[in-house]
Amino acid sequence: MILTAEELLQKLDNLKAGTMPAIEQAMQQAALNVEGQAKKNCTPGQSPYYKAPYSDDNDPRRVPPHMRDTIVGTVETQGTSVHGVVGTPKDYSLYIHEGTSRMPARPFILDAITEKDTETRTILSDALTNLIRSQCE
Amino acid sequence: MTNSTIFAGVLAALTNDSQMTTWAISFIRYKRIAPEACPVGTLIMNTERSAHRPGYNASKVRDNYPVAQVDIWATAASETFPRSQEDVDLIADRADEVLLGLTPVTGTFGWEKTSESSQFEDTTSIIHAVRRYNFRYNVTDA
Repeated sequence: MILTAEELLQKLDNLKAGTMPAIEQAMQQAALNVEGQAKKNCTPGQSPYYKAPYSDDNDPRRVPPHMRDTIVGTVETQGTSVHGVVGTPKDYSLYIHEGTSRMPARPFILDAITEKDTETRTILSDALTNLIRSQCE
Repeated sequence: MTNSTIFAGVLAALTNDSQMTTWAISFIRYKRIAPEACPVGTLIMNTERSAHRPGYNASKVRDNYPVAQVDIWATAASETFPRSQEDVDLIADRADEVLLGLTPVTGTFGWEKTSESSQFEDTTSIIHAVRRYNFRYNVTDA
């Protein structure tokens, strides 16, 4: 393929304009992937911990919904920095994740990030690869 | 379950550190902590992934990737060091220096810190700092 200088500059401009949306979209996909694993870590029968962090439905002290069902993955963009954020608004989740003097830690989110580390890198690199390829055609 | 030799090596590195000794901080395997037992440090391995190294059929070598969690426990009711969040963070920072230092625990490599946090337990007045580290070690299967 032979390009004029103008065409090449146009493609470079397209790459520049397309990078952030592509990374944001890929990061959202990666965050959802981690979210799914974190929910799995909180599911009885699939959790790697001695006891899944999933309260008894019949416990009168329980405030619905389950912590597992409130875990959410989102994307935050600040300038040229894109962050995938996975968390839960339940106030007691920190104590479950980090442990207390009476309860061992069950780091359901950090373990999900670690478990999905390779997939996250693949999702992000694929997004950039596809963007570059789209400008090479 | 992390190799017991590796676990003991990490525990010994923390316990035998001269600064930890000066502060009278001992390290034990994680168990329930009573306020009377503070100050104390605990070690637990959260998760461990294992992968066959290329050429495993001949070498039988696997790479293991555990996550080590170091907890520092102190009570705000204490009248001596450590008795505040700053004191506990200072000890946790020292754990960073020991584990991420130039001389890795024997048999391990690739140490990096993955998270840190601090909490205060209202019911027991226990101050708690958590540090987690990724590292690797090799296992040769029989």
